[in-house]
Amino acid sequence: MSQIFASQRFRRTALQGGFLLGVVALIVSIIFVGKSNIADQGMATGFGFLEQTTGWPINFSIIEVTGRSTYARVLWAGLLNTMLVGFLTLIFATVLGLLLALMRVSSNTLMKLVGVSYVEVFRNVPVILQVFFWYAILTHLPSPKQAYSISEMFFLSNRGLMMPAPAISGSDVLSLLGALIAAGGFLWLSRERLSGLLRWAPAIGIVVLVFLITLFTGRAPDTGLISIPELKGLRFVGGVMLKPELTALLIGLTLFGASYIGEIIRGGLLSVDRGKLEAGSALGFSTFQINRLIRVPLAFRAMLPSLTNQYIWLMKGTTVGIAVGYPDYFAIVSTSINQSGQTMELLALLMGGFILINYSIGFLMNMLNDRIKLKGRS
Amino acid sequence: MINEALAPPLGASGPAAWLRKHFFSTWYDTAFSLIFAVLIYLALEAFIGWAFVNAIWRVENKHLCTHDAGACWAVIESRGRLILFGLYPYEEQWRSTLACLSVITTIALSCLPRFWSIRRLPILWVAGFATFVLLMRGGFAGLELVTSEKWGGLSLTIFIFSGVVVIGMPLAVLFALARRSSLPVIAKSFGFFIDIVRSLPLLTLLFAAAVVVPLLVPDWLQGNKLMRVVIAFAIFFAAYQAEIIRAGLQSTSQGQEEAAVALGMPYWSLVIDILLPQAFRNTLPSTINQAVITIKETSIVTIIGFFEVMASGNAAIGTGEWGNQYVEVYVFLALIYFVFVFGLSRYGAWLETRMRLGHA
Amino acid sequence: MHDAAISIRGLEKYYGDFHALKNIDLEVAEKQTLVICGPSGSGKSTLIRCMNGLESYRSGTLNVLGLPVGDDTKVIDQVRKQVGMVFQSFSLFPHLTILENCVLPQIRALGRDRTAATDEAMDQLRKMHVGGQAEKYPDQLSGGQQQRVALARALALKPKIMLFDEPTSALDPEMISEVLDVMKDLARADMTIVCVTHEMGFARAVADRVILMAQGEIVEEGTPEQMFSNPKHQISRDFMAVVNG
Repeated sequence: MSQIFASQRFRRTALQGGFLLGVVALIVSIIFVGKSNIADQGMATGFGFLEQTTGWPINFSIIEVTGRSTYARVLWAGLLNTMLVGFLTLIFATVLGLLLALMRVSSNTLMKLVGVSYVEVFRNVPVILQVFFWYAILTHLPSPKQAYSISEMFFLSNRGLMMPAPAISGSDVLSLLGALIAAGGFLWLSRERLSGLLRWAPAIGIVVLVFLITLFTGRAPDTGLISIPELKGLRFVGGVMLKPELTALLIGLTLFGASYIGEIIRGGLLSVDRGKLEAGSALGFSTFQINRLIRVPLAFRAMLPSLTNQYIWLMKGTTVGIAVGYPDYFAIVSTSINQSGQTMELLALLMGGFILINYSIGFLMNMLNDRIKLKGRS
Repeated sequence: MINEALAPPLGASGPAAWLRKHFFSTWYDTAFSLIFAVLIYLALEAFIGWAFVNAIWRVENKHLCTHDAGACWAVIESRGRLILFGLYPYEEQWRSTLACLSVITTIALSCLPRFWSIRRLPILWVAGFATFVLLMRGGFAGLELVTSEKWGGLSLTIFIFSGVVVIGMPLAVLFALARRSSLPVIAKSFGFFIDIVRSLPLLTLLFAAAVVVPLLVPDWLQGNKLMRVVIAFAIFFAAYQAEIIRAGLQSTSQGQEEAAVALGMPYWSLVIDILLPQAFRNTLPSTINQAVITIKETSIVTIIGFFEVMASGNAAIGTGEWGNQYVEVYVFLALIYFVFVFGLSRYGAWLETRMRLGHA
Repeated sequence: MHDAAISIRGLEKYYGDFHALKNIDLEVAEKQTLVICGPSGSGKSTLIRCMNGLESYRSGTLNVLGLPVGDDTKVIDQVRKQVGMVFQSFSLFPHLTILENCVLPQIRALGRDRTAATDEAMDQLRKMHVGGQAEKYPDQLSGGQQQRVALARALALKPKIMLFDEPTSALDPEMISEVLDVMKDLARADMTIVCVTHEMGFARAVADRVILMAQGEIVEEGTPEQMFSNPKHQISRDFMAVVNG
């Protein structure tokens, strides 16, 4: 009998079975305790609350949100806020990072020095501290009455940066984005079937059409095409305002992210085997040609995985926005939990939202990676 | 004629040539050099002027801290203790200092190869951490009891970091071994768990630990908020570190496992004596990198409401008399982090170079 | 007739659908030296690795020193403590000194105390003519030296059977003889040996029996003289022709 217990196969099956049972037991007990605690505190369960109105406003959103919006709408606004600051950060940080990388691989010693100093300073200070810093500076700007201004159209004050803007609303911007995505999709799908003008004309046409429609429709009468900010009393009216919360978060994340992305790009550029560059030189390519045809493409392939990780990390980093009052997805979920008490459901939505964002980025980058991958036996 | 060596062309060596190559090699190179030289000079002049020459250092000169003067470092003298120790009782702050020093010593000693054994390192860290907690908490041998609610500032940051490492490292080993297990159910479950944890923002996990876990767990298991958050942070750390260890384990050749098994060595010995020491040594640079990231991430807990160094910094600025000295305080905080983070990452880079060239 | 040291009957092994070992019948008597040879993929390594439980099998019986090597982990543990193995790739522990490589297994597997283990280890290392290298690390030694250390490490456990899985295949030619020499000494000292190798000189010198495997089966077996001068099967003849150059 003891032979059976000593048998390897039995032990393996028993161990695995026991483990599964343990996990299931844990989950079940958590559910039970959770349900009883929630009932004790009189909190509701279920996702029905999503259709209730929140009763509280948020200080920034792309789509229109008021105290009478539903939880669903407010959460969606939060998600959009996260994506807004996230994607802007990715774009700006990549551009800046590219600049830094080029500075660091150049032969000019002073440029290299500036590049290295930048990276060491911005990489070694926590991002939340950097965001606090910029927020403090932006909120210590003069009040709107004494705002700095450029040609009476741009105004910088402690309420933010006001700029003239076309008179379209946040929903219009989303429609525009949708048009861009549709155009991009069309270009992608038609890449092998059509070419040249037949591809580009419809794509550009869609975007222009949607832009014009949003520009000319849905506006209150006697507002012009472009709205320019004007000081009325204590605040500005009109135009678009870049609030200090968003700005500080954007600046902080961009400068921090650029230092990492710069290093990744630099690593990619340096990883290109010298032999290949010398081969290009031997073939008579100019320095510019070597860079464009050999170095950059190979470097790009090498850095893509690290870049993907960094992008995902930066996306997750937007959660520090709550520290300066930017209503990102996390901030909204956290306030909702406070106000509605629907902790479990909201937490699930929170985690689900981020997992979704991460996998989307990973998916897109992997698609890119597969397309440009060096084909071979590796 | 053939044997006469020609002199090198003029200007190919010597200081003039060095300058030319590095700063003036082409026309746009020269242009950049001049522009950057001017920019750097201006920036340095402004910075040194602000931070040193025109700065006010002592509190009694506070009245000189106007808008146009230099940095008002007096705020550090006035609020420095708040930033470093939070609300810890004034007379007992020497204990706080000693406690922080004990952890810093632990970190420094961990960098010496002498301590790199599977026995010494854990003992070192547990000893360092225990010393910290005992000194801070007190309640024995004449030391006044100071519970964790009063711990704050830099000492709270250090506590969180060392707690995360002491709890997270063994967890990471556990996760890594579980993920490598030959039992598919265990390997896949842990793999799934690690992937989920790694795809979430740290703040989400800490928030869940602070707010959600109390709902899901019976009363007797609750612990206090600080403990829950440190444990959640440790799990996050362990998920990342587990992947590093796993990579290290994979790079040790399979032949050694077979040899150990054939020699009749028990599984625990295989892991502790053979696999782990090699895995850790191989992945030391990545591990140090992970530690550096964790130091920076401790700042996130300020959002959860802990009075660590970021929060104490903000409190030091406050809205009262020092309300305009936010730059000085933030620079001071940045310097504190910079010293730890830059120091450790330099060490990690040095170690990596050494390991690439030969034995550590 | 005393019990055979190793006794195999009707052993069948599969890797998925691949039939790796087909109906193997084999007996190795005590103090015998058995050499297993054959072309690659014939299952020689698989067979020898079954003997100390590194590989499992589907059916048949496999008894080592009277103990049934099968599913029972406790039995396999006992077997491994009495059966030593030397691998093609030496598999020394790179982060330990040579001496520690030989001492640690004794402490962990057999529970010996450190002093006794150290004495035994030094003894074996000297016999393998690598006693002077005790404080060095594996990557400071040549391949031949490393393999001899691996042998010393295994012998320090005082096994009753030694298994060799192509011990010289990874060595540079000039080092093969130094390893084969110590193996021959071992054979002459009446150790029970099973050795998978291509080195026919070794087989001729000390093997009591030679078996030839191909495609998972034992094709032929006999004394070295029989196998080398008068192989019966075509496969054996082809193999010997290639091996003997």
